[in-house]
Amino acid sequence: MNQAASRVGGWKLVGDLGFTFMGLLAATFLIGRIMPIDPVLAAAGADLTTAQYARVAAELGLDQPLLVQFGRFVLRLVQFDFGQSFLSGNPVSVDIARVFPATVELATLGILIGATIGIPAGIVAAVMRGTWVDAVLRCITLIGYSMPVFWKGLMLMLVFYVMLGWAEGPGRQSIAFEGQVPTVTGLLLVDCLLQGDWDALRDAWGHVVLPAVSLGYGAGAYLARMTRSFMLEQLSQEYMITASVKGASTTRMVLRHALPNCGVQLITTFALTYGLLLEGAVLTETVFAWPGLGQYMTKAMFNADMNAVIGGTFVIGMVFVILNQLSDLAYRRLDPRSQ
Amino acid sequence: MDAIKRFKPKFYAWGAACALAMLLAPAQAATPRDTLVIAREISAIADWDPAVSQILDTQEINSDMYERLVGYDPRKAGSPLAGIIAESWVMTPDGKQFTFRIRKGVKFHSGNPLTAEDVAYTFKRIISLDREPSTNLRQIGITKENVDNFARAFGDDLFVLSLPDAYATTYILNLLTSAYFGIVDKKLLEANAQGGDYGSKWLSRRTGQEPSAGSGPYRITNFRASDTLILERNDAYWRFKSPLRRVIFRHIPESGAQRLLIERGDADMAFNLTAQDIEALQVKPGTKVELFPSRRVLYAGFNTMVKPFDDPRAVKAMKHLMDYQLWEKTLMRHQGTVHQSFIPNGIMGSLKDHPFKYDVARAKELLAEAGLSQGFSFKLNVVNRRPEIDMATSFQASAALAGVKVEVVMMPPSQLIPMYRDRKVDALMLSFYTPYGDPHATANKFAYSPGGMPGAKPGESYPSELTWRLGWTPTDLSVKVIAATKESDPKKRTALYADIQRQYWESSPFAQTFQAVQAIGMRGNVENYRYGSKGGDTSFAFTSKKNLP
Repeated sequence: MNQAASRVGGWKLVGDLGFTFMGLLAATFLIGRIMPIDPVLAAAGADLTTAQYARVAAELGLDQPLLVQFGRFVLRLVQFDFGQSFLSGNPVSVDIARVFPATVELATLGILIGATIGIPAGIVAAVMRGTWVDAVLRCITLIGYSMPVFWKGLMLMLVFYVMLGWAEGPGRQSIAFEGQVPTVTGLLLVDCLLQGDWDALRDAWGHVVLPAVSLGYGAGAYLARMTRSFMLEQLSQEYMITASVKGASTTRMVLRHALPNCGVQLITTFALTYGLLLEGAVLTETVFAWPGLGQYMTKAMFNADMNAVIGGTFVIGMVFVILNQLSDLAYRRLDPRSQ
Repeated sequence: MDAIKRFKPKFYAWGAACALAMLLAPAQAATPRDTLVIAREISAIADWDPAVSQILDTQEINSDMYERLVGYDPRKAGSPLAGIIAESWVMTPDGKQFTFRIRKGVKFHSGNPLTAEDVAYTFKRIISLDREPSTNLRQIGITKENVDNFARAFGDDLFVLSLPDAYATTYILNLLTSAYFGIVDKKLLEANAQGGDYGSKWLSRRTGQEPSAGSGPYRITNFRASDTLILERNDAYWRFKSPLRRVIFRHIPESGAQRLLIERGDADMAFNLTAQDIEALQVKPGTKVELFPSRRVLYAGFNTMVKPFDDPRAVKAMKHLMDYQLWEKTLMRHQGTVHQSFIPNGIMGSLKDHPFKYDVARAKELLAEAGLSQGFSFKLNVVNRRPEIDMATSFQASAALAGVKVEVVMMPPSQLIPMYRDRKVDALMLSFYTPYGDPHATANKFAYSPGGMPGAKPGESYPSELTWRLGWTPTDLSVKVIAATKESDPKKRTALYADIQRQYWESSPFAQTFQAVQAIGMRGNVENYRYGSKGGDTSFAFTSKKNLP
């Protein structure tokens, strides 16, 4: 009985996911075709004659009715074939396998930096609410949240790359290391480790650290603000008074009682922030010349390179679904009521 | 007080740590002396087939990978057109046949010898693939049907180009310098052809793993779109040994980041700098900026199918409402010089006159003559980038002084081009890049309309033609443009273009405004980079880096 129920649940999940994905893809596809951008011209040049235009459109399969195009597209997608990007000339899957790990690497470091700084800062700000510490933290987070990414990135580079020389410049690695580390995972830091190439690792780290700090500052500022408000809500609850009457220390009250109760909200915020970073931070990627998903998708969208856009959308959709599932699992651990 | 005392040691320790870190910081980085690192926005580079690609960046790089029959020598700036793969050539007296003697002993990167067969194959490919570049061949009467006879190899050493009509020698030779005519390795391409595509699919996609099909001084060894492009010197190059072993393009989209790379010495050249970054590099020791007139000319266009632009006086009034001189000093600083001829400077027939000056009173007069003293309003479409946006807003302000209300609409080029082709713009600002160093390359676009030629079918659509997009069909000018391609005396030909442009200024719905300048930020030791206004004269094949003391 129980097994049957879980099987039904499993199918329902697959059904739900399938439905969500179809909706997402149909919407992306339609937007791409309705947009006043012409993929034929983007692919083959502005000055095509009428006959050349018709031929290129046919080559790209764009002469078919929308429904047929969509059907073909779904059929290919089921076989995990996103087609070719006409901008890069590569199969979209090859492109994504190249750009997505770059984004994963950057986003993961960014969120780690952000969480390590942001969550403790938020807790401190909540506990020391109204003091100068809270005010200073609020200032710092506000700046982190509102400072233009372009300016932040360039300033970081000016100080730590040009003036101090502590970090490396834009890009993922220096030219001297180009082609030295074979691609295994696509995550350059991991690949360097696997290869045991310490010089390449130091270089790659030098390149990733500034964009990661730039992203992490923004993400950390957001996490700090959210943590502060979640914590304030908990700190004002009656069980805190009880704990204090029972003689619990401030540390124990905050870390043992209040913080675990923010867990679910914090995980949700964390997962969403991570998801947003995984979409690719276009501006950060542009300033730091980081060859990630953000730049790739933006360029594809401006040129109506729909295969690439849809491939990217699919990956981002997957990321959110996976993060969602993971945070669901985490809720069950953290919140006894949902078990 | 106490607190400060306690704080002091910490402060010193922190200061010492900072100082130490600065000492430990790597000394001024520098790229290897035989390697040129170029920071550039290269996301447009995708399709590498010279017979297909219409992307300028690709064409520039292809120029150093594929050689043409004729072209320019990168060893000397401003060198005249001369034979490259063609050792010599002769024409029949009627001007209808060119016989090129192919240089002996030239080898492709693959090791295959380059012969007249490869040249003939290159022509056949262009016309058969039938993309934008093929238009240039069709204009001189070469078609899919006649190409086998008209572009033909005789043995290994002779290539004969026959034309159904006699054209100006200068026109034909200038045309052949364009990157489209880069000679490709027939054997290699035939081996990689799929379904009669002349190896185009295979050649378009380069990763650096596959053999190269050119014979030029460089070949690709690594390419990742929107990331890195590495070219390696062809040590067997017949003409000279390029000083640089490797040329590396790094995709750095942002001007500020490009400038920092140059300042640090991690890049040798930067291509996409804003005016502020250019000025910073101009004064910084160890870096320099070189300015080159480019092949891009900015223009505005007014749709003659929309009132009141059907009246040339209204269009002329608009041309007097643009503050060219002020723009040159402000928003076009380091980016362009006032240029009102459709032929870029540096190409035969270009005029330096500036018939249109900012003059609101004159504009008002012209509008009054056209019965428009009440003013009118229209939409101006511009691409969403600088300097076009700034120009449009400045124009908007000065037009208001003459009672004309301009609504500026900004959009990405990928959105503007389809509207332009569909004749759906009132007015627009855009640029045109001359594809090769001949006046016909631009005259053909701005002063010629196929629908205006005697005997043209009325109502026919020509979306590829700029004149058609603005509804302009000047019969007299179109006839003159075609006649100018057939004038064999270069002096007379130059005079014909001067005449065409003067007439064009009176009646055309286009207003050329600036010739763009390509500012390139460089390390102080970079020498001999060639950037030309003709396309085929851009090259890094003789660029070097001198030893710094």
